[in-house]
Amino acid sequence: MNTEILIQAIINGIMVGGIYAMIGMSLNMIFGVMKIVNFCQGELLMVSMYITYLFYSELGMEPFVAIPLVAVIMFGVGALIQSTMITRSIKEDGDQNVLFLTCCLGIFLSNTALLLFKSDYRTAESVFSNKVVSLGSMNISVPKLLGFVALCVTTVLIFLMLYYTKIGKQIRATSQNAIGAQVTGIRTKVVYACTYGLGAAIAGIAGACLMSYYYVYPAVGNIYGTRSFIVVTMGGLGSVVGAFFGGIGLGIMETVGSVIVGAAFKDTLVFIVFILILVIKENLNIRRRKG
Amino acid sequence: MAELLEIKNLTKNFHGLKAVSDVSFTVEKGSITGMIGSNGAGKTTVFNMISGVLTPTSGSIIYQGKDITGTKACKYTGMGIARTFQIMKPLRNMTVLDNVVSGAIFGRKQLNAVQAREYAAEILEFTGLYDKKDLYPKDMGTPYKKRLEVARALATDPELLLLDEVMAGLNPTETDEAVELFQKINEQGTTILLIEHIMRAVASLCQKVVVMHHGEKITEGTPEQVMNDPYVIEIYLGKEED
Amino acid sequence: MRKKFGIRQILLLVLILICLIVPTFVKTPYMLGIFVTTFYIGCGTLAWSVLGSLTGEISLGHAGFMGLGAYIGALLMNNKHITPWVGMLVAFVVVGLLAACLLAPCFVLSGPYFTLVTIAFAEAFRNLFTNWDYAGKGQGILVPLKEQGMYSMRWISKVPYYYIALIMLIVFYVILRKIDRSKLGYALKTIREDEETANAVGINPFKYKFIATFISAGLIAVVGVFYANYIGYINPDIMKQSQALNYVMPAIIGGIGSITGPLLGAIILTPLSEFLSATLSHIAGGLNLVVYAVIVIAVILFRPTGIMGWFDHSKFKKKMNDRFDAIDAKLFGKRG
Repeated sequence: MNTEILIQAIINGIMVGGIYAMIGMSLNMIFGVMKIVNFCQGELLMVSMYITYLFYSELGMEPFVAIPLVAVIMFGVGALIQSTMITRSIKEDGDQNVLFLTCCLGIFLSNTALLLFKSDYRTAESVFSNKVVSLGSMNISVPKLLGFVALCVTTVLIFLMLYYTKIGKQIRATSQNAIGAQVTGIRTKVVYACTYGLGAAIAGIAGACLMSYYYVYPAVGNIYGTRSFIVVTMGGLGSVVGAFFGGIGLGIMETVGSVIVGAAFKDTLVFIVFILILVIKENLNIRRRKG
Repeated sequence: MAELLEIKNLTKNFHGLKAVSDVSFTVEKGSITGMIGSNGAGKTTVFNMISGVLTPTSGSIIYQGKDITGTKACKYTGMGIARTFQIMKPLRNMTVLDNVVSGAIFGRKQLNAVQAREYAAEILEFTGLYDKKDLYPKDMGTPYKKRLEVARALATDPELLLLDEVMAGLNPTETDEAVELFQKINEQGTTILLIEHIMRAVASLCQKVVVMHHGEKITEGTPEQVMNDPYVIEIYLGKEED
Repeated sequence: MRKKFGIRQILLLVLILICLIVPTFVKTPYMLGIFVTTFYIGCGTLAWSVLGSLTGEISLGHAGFMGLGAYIGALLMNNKHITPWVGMLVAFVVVGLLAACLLAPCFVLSGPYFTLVTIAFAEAFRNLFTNWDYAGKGQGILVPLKEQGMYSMRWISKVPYYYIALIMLIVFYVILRKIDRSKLGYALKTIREDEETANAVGINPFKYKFIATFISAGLIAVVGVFYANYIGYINPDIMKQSQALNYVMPAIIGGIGSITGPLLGAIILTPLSEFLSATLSHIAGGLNLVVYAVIVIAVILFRPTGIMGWFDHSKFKKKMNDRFDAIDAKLFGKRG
């Protein structure tokens, strides 16, 4: 195989992986603290893409400029979903209800989008769209590069927030032990709402970045939802740093995989690797637990 | 009396930490044997190894003259070993009767579903739960839930019954009732090995008591011998300072 | 358990009889279509319930297994001229075994992780079929209406499909009732409640999960064969996760944990969704599914145990039982 093609594939993989990493991180945020797997993360991404699109089409706002606004709005949406619905369905016995609830929320969100925007593909032109930087013979698309930068900034910000702010410390405490946190006077309900809101906000940043070079349609969340699960499995459920590398790993696997097995079957490859990782990890876990 | 169960040099390490170290004792057929010791002494770990939940790092478990070390957990009821759990594990969305049926159906008797329902009813009668057979476990108080654990284990028709702290949290009257039940079970020929903290119950039930501390067996003997052992007293009550 | 013939059995027979004569009254293909859809969705929900309700393993990949069945039936008929009836049998065995073998290593995974694996398998199948020439790639395949009749399971009229679907539903329900009360059923339910306890009473969780997966995936593959012939056209999109939810949501509404619940859910939800799509979808596309999702979300939030879960613990059930017993006593006198 041509090394140049391979290197180009890896670079593309890292760029694509940036988005995967971000949405994986958002999923992990929620899982790490609340121990629930959010099955509508892809749909939250879709919602944020539409919000970005609205800013663009109604106000002519540049997608990258809209990032903070989208993040704030998504934080509100997330906190609202958590405090009105998800809180209710978290039970001690089993997480089935949360699973079903988030699944149905996904259907609700994607069909609401269908209702409002029809099934057309919509794009938001950024000044950077279609721009490319060349490094020797390698080409990097500028919006993807900016997306990657946004990922790095977001990761650092989350890290700082978790370790140096009060709410961040509360979130970490709650994720260690919810009851223990409650005993020390942390209002876990608020923490949960913030966490889900943060998860949605990170998905919002990802959505705004994605909008600069990708199109949005009501079912777009499906693709990224499944990808986000793969990311967190590869990087470790609950770990923000893990999601960073998991996302980039998935991106590289996809682009390099499509060079090797052909673009058509790259999904199958990804899913099989995903299942293998899950099963092998769990078996190692069991062995460790048994001593 | 013959030996039903023989534990030889049982050791269990968790990541290099010795949870159980070189424990040996025997359980006579038809007897009631007790295991006592402070929290974290390794009693439940021993139980988990005898019932196949954990595999020993070294040592062996001999049951009816056969080495059963490392057998899969689901094979034990077929051999006649049944257990209860320290943390109660009632089958929540199944009625009390169905809880016991699932024990009966997969136990030693190889019953079909219809026979199992009849047998389960008998067991419920025996354990005094019959009038609660249509309730769900959550609708009953702790003493009954504990009883249900015992009933389910008993329904597998065990030769050896392992009871893990089934009297913890009971008040004195309830404890006496439980003691009575275990004596009744034992009279029917079932050998019992139990972990217990309530010394009064241990003293009135057990012919032999094994004392564990920090993963090691420190002594064994009749309840009186054990309770007068200075080392046991020291562990339980602390050393007298002089 | 005493078995006796009483008012409950009579009511059930009357219900079945009514179902049998429906096509003589309902003539419009549209209305009949709603019945057929209800029946096969009911079948799918029941098939899903073997894993979902009895074993407590939530699969969102059943659309994938159904799709496999549909492709097997259609390809056998189109390319080898083998009747879909045999196709059903082949689909049952092949898909059942395939699913059980593929998911077997995943039985160690718990809760949402198992769900994720089922999604991944279904998506992988979809990806493979989208790119597989023999199966018509993304365009899918037609099951042409060359000859009508039993052998090809193809008719212009919907009446034969009505009866096939009805019989299939009754058979599925009877199978599930049998499983529910059998040794297998007790094993699955015990595993669902607590795997460690299952081990402790002598149940091998792996073995029984394997059997449950085989039955569940096999049965839904049979539904797939029916679907292919009824609709006459299949494509990889039938393997989507959103399609799987069609079989899961009735179970949620009806109540996971019982057999009757999922069936009841399908009987209520499918006509409702058909009605919504008929009345709302031309007002605005997607509105019907929005309403549908809101209803299901409301049930999850306010009645998390579903209709049967509520019914089982209600006074209403006791009252009805008493009433039925009274009628029984009046009709047949006192019996032991």
